[in-house]
Amino acid sequence: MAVALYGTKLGMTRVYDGEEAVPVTVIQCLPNEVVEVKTPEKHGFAALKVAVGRRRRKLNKPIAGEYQKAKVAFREALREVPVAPGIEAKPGAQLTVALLDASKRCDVVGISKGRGFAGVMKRHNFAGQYASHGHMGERRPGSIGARMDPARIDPGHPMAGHYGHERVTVRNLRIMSIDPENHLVVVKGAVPGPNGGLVEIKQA
Amino acid sequence: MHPLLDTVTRASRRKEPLGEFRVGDTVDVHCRIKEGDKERIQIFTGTVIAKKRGHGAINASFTVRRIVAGEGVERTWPIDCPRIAKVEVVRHGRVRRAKLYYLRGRVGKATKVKELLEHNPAEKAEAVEKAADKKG
Repeated sequence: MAVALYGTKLGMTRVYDGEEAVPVTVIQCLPNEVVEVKTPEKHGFAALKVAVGRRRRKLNKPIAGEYQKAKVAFREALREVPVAPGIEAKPGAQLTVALLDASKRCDVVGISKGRGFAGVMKRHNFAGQYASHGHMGERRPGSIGARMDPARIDPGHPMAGHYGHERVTVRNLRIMSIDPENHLVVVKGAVPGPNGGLVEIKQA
Repeated sequence: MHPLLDTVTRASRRKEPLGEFRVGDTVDVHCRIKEGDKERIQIFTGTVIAKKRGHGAINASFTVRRIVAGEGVERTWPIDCPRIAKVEVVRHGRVRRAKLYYLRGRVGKATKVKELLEHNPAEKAEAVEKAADKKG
């Protein structure tokens, strides 16, 4: 049964698994609170609309209304997730880290750090050119195509441009531990986005 | 760093403290080495040239330098590394800086000079007390 849980990336640290040091990311999943239940009869599919992320004080009126109807405290965002197993599907129900199975791997989705208009070396791992011996353009892309024959640049040719701030999924991360008391999930490896960013943990 | 990260790393922390040692001290690092299914302890003796706190205490590490067969060898361990059994101070060193990277450029006797003056922690505490008395 598919499970999706939203949380806040707190940051990275390391733990020792036996003698081995393991780099981990700590994600805090404050209970995701159900705001609305979507049913096949009414909406054509079954899902839960949940309030996720950190608490906040202010919201605009239309969105605040959705929270108030369900008597749920204001949160960072509303998201739609599959109906969680073993959870009573009604407004106000809480989805917690207890839904996750530490013995199985998980996928983590986040919005990667925005890098603005990035050059070709940062964006596409180009090698650049010589730094010394009188060379110019150390970070330029170099040739981007042939001459008269195609007389055009290949579609999709890697060039400089906007990089980052996109939805990125990291798959098959090991769950090192789960702390229900502090709502923490500790996952091996790195996770997209800045500390404090909203991430989604998915398990099949 | 988020304060809750400590709750995650707590279980990975060293159970018994490594023992006090400072930059400049000559120490024996007792390191567990696995050979096949056997485990033994190897001792690495050298001068502590750096202690780093890292981003959080769990990332703290220290570096020990020694000269082996004329070649400088440095080993760095995390303080919480489970492979270190203990660290024994052989000799205290008198140093005036936190990182002794200047030793890297030195050969022979020059690498030794700095740690002659041994100091006795008890004596020092006494001196500090006396100074406080005079002030008060």
